[in-house]
Amino acid sequence: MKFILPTIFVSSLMTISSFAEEVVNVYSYRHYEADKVLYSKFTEETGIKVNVVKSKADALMDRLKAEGDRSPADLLITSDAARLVKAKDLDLLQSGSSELLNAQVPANLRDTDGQWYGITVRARVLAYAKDKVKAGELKNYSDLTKPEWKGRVIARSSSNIYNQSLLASMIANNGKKEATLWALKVRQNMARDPQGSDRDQLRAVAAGVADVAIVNTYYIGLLANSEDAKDNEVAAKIAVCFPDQEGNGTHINISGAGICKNAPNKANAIKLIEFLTSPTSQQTFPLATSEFPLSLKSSAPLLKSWGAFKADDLSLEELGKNNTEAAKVFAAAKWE
Amino acid sequence: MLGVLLICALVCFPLFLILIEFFQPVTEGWQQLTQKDPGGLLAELGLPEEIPEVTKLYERGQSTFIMLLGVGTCSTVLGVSLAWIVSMWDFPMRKLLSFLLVLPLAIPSYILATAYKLITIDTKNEVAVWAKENHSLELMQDIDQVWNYILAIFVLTVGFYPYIYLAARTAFSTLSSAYLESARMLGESTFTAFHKIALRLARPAIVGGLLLVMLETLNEFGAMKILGINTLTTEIFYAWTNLDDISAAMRLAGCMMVIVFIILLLEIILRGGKRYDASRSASTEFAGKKAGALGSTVFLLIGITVFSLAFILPFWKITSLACCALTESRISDFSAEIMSSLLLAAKASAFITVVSLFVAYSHRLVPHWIMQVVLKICNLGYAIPGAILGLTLITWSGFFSQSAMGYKTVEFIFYGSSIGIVLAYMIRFLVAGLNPIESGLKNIRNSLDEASRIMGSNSFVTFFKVHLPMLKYSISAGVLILFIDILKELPLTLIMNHETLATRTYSLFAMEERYATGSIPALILILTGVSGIAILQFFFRNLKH
Repeated sequence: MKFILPTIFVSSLMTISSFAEEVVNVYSYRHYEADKVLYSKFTEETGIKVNVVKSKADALMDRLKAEGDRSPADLLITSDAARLVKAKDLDLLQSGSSELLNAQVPANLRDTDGQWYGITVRARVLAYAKDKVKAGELKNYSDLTKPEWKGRVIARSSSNIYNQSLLASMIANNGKKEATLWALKVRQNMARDPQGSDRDQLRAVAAGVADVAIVNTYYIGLLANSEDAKDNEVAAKIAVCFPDQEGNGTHINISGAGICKNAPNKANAIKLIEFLTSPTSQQTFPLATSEFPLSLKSSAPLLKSWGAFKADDLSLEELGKNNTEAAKVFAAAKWE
Repeated sequence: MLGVLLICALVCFPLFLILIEFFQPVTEGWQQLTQKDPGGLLAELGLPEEIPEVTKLYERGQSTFIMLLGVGTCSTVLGVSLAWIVSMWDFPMRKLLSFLLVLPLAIPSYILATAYKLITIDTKNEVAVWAKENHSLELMQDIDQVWNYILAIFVLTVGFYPYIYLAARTAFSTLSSAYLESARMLGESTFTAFHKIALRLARPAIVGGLLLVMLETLNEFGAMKILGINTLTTEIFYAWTNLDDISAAMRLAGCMMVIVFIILLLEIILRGGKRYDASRSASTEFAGKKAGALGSTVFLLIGITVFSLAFILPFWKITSLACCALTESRISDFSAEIMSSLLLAAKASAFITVVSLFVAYSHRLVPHWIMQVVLKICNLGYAIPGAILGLTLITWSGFFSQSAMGYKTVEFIFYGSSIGIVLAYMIRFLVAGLNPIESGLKNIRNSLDEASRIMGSNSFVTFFKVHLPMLKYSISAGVLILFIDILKELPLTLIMNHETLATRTYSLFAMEERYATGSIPALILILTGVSGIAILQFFFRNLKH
C-alpha cells in the first residue's frame, strides 16, 4: 500500500499533466523552501513542470526498486554522496551527460559514469567558542586528538552519515590505522558521550559545555538566520575553522542528483540538473540554505565571513565505498 | 482450527528465524558486539591499554536493564498510587481526573521525548557548565550520563504509567466494597486496608499492566535515540542500517528475546498463580471514602501535577512549535502522509479485527486445550519488540527473493503493496484486537448459542445474526485501540521503511532537526490519540450498561 495509492496518484497526475506540458519528476530528500523557488523558476524558463515527491532517501530508493520499469521518477536527489553511490550500486541509476554539466560540475563532485552530479557542497568543519579558543589555535582535524583538548571536544553519534563520511575520507586518505587512532583519541577527548544533533553540539559549545564541535557549516547558517533570538546568540558565539588547509583540505560532501534508470523524461532531467548547477542558481543556495555552491565561492555575507578554504578533492565515489568500513572503525573506537 | 494454527505459526515464525541464526557462522558485526577488541584492531595498533573492560553487548544490556528497572519501578509506584487515589477516595472533580490521567497514552513516546529534550536542554547545559567550572570534568560527564538516564526514565514513566494505572483502577473499582468494609470494621486503617487487601487482590492486574510497561520499554526506539540512550533495540537498528549486518542484528534480537522470556516468566511468578475472585455479585458502585478538605486538596494537587507533566507541558510545547511552523508550512504539506497513514491504519485494524473475530470465535466453538495454547501463543506476538519483528520479516523476504518467482512475490508483498506491513502489524497487535472480542464473547451466554441452534441456525448464521450485533461495542473498541496503536507505531514501520505520520515525525525530529515543522504531524498524532481515547471512554461506559 505504501506505494500503490501515492504512485497511482502521482503517476495519474503526471500523465494528465504530460498531455498538456513537458514534466520532470523528482524524488527528493532535500526539504528546503529555496528548492521550490528554483523549481518554479525552472518552469518559467523552460516550460517544464517539476513534480516533487519528498521522503527519506532510503525510502525513495526502496520505492524506485519497487516501481521498477514503471517508475515515473526522473531524478533522485539526496543530501549525501554515499546514498547516490548506493543507488548506483543497486542499479537504480543510468548515465547521462552534457558538455554543460561536465563544465559546471567539478570532476570529483560527480560520478565517473555520469550517473549522478553534485548540486551543493557542505563542509564538515570545527566550530569553536570565540571566547575560549584563539583563532589559529586549531588547524587540523588531528589537533583534536592532542592532550590539551582533553574534555573540550564534542560531536554527535557515529550513526550519523556526515561523521561516517568524514571518517571514510580519513580511511581513504590516511589508511584505516590512522583513522582508527584519530577516532579513538577524539572520543577520549570528548566532554560528554556523543549525543544529539549538530545543532545540539553548537548549542553546547555556546553554553560552555565544550570548546569545539565537529559540525556541518550550514547548521551554523541555520542558527544565524533563525527567527529565534536564542539561536542567533548561539551563532554569534561561534567561529569556524576549516581544517587541514595545509594538508588534504577540509572534508566536503554534496547534496546531489542521480538520473533514474527508467527516467521517462531523461532529457528534462538533465536540463534540470544543468539549471540547478548553473552559476545563477548556484548563487541562491548560500543565501537560502547556507550551503556552498559547487565552486565554493560565494558573496553571501555569512559564507564570506568564514573566508575562502581549500576542500579535499578526494573523489566522492571513494567516500561511498568506505562508509561501512568507517562505521566499523567508529565501533572499535567506542564512538557510539 | 487449521486457520488458527496458521496464524499461530505466523507468530512463531520470527522466533524460529532467530533461533536458526544462532547456528550460522558469526559475522563481523557480532564480533564487534561481543569482543572487547573487535578483530584485534587495538592490539595491532599497539594500544592494548585502550581495550575496554567490557564488551559493547554488556554495555547495551546494562543500559537496557537500567531502563527496565527504572521505568518499571517508577510507573508502578505512580500508576498504583494514582489508581488508589481515584478509586478509593471521593473528592471534587474525581471523575474528570480519573479520565484525564489516561490521556498521556495519546502522546507517542518519541514526541514526548522530543518535547522534554527541548524543554530541558538549556538547563542541562547550564548544570554541566556549573559542574565543570566548580568541580571537575569527570563530574560533568557523570552528571550528563545520569541526566540522560533520569530524563529517559521520566519520559517513559509519564508515557507508560497509564497502562498500570488503568489495570489497577479497574481492579480496585471492581473489588467488592464488602472486602474493604469488613477490613475497616475490623479496625484496620484505610492505609492498611489498602495494603493488606486491595493491593493483594489487585496484584495480578497490576502485574499485567507492569508487563505491558516492560515490553513497551524494551520495544522503545525513538525516545531512546532522541535522548541519547543506547539500548539493545537501538543497537539492532545500528547493526542493520549502519553496518548492513542483518545476522548481527538477528543475534541481538535473540538476546532481547531472552529478556522478553525472563519478563514473561517473572510475570507468571509475580502473579503467583493466584486469581482472587473479585466477587461478581457485589455491587460495583463507587465505594470510595469521602476525603476531607486537606485530603481533597492534596489528591487534586497530585493528580493535576502528574497530568500537567505528562500531558499539558509537552502538549503545549508541541502546539506552540506547530503554531510557529504554520507560518511557513501548511497542514496540506503532510496530506500524502496523513492519507496513507489513515488508510494503512484503517486497513490493518480492519484486517486484524477480522482475524481476531475468527480466532476468538474458533475458540468458542472448539474449546479444546490446544486452542488455549494457541491463543496464548497468539498473545506472544506483542512481546516481540517491533524492531525484531520487522527484521525477521526482512530476513524472511530475503530467503524467498533468491528465486525469480519468489522475488516477484516478495517485491509485491513488501514493496508493491501493504500486505507485508499489515501482516507485521497483525503479529504484533493481534492481542490488542483479540482481548476486547474475547471478553465480549465471554459475556454472551452459551444458552443463546443453543437457542439459536434449536431454532435451526448453524453456527455461521448464529455468528452473524446473534453474536455480531451483541459484540458491536467490543468490536468498535478493539478497532479503535488498534487504529491508535498502529497510527503511532514507530520501530516496526521504520525498519520496514514505510512512510507514515509517525516515521515522518520521527525523521523530522531526530534526523533533520526541524522541530517546528515536525510538530505539525506530531500534533495531528496527539489529537487523533486524544479523540480516540475519548471515544473509547464512551464505548466502555456503554459496555458497562
